[in-house]
Amino acid sequence: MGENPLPADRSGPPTGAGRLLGRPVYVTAEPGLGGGEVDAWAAAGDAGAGEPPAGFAVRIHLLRTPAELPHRAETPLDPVRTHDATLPARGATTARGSLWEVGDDAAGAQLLVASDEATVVAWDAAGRWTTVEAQAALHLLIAEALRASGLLLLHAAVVARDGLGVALLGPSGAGKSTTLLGATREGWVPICEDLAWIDPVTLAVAGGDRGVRVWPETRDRYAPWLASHSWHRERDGKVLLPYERLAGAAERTARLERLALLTREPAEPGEPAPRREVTLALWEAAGLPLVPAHQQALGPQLASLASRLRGERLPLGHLPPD
Amino acid sequence: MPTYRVNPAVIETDLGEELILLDPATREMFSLNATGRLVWQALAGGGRGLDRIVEQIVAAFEVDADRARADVDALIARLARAGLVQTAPSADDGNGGEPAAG
Repeated sequence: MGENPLPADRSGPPTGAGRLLGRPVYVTAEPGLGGGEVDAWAAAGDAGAGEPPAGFAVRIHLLRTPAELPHRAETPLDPVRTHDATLPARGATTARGSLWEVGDDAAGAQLLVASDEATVVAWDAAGRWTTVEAQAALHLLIAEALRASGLLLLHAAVVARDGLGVALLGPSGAGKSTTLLGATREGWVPICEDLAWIDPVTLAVAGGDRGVRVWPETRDRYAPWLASHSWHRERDGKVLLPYERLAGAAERTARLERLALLTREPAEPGEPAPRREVTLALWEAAGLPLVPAHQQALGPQLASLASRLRGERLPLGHLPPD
Repeated sequence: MPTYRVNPAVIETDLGEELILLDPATREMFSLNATGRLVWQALAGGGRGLDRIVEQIVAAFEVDADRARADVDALIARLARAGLVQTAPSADDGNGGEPAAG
């Protein structure tokens, strides 16, 4: 082991641990810190089978302030834009590996990528990771840490039947959530609505979000049996339908088998989509990682998916054919 | 004539029949067919194979060498305009070469 990304007295045993597609994820939080999404990582359990690099681990440390961190990234980078926040970014090179930082001293995160582990240190002065900036910084760098372990992230909905998954691809507003809800009504298991983790070697997929975010009208139309409950209302007015309410205790992992491109154009459900079209949809869903090495890894990963998985069209209002 | 090299930041997605290039800086995509792929790979190898690629194009498409060379040069100019290739410093140019043509 080389230098520690944390002050010596802050690198105690993890307060939570799980595995995501075979990757060990350890969470260490200062007392009193956390919150729903953060706690979910610590209680992730063992989600799905994967083939991680031998010995590679992801570590997440939660602090109130970055003041005592032994290293800070000082070289300015282009700001990082997520769908709901724009974060200042900085980079640096340390003896142990590359260092990346987003956010500011009130709420931000730092990522150290080494050969045997990726460490995220996130801080939030409020300690609850409830602000857009604090959540965006945490999510962004956890995503990069998991990418460092070889995983692929897709902003796609995934549904599964008999353990075989179909990823629903399309831009925002294409109908991913409504298709997922409709499929769930027909017995498909919802894996995720917008955040799929995929092991490109095994094609195992695991959901990375906590529930389906939909407008109340969509819930009432596609999941009317849930309308009488009082659901958590998000900032944008959507409601969050937790997966356990949709599909009980069903395991949210599968083996990815097909890629369905949602379309508003006339098409036969399940008609083959050209590989070029599939690849462009995959690029749209993958987004661009922050770390250049992860950007370079993405091209071969997406090409592999486009060649190994069946790509098909799925007109809006239809379900994936069996 | 400037020497070209591929922009190392460009991300390749190889679909076999087609090579898709993405420039992370602009997020623009560029598609190369089989012939374009040969040119790209020659540039990735330092550009030393371009003469051989011109010969291959002459043989495969029954065009003369001047026309093939012009097509290759035009493609490289488009790639340069898109930021996908850059001018490379040459042995007799210690200051990093001229700006990309075109």
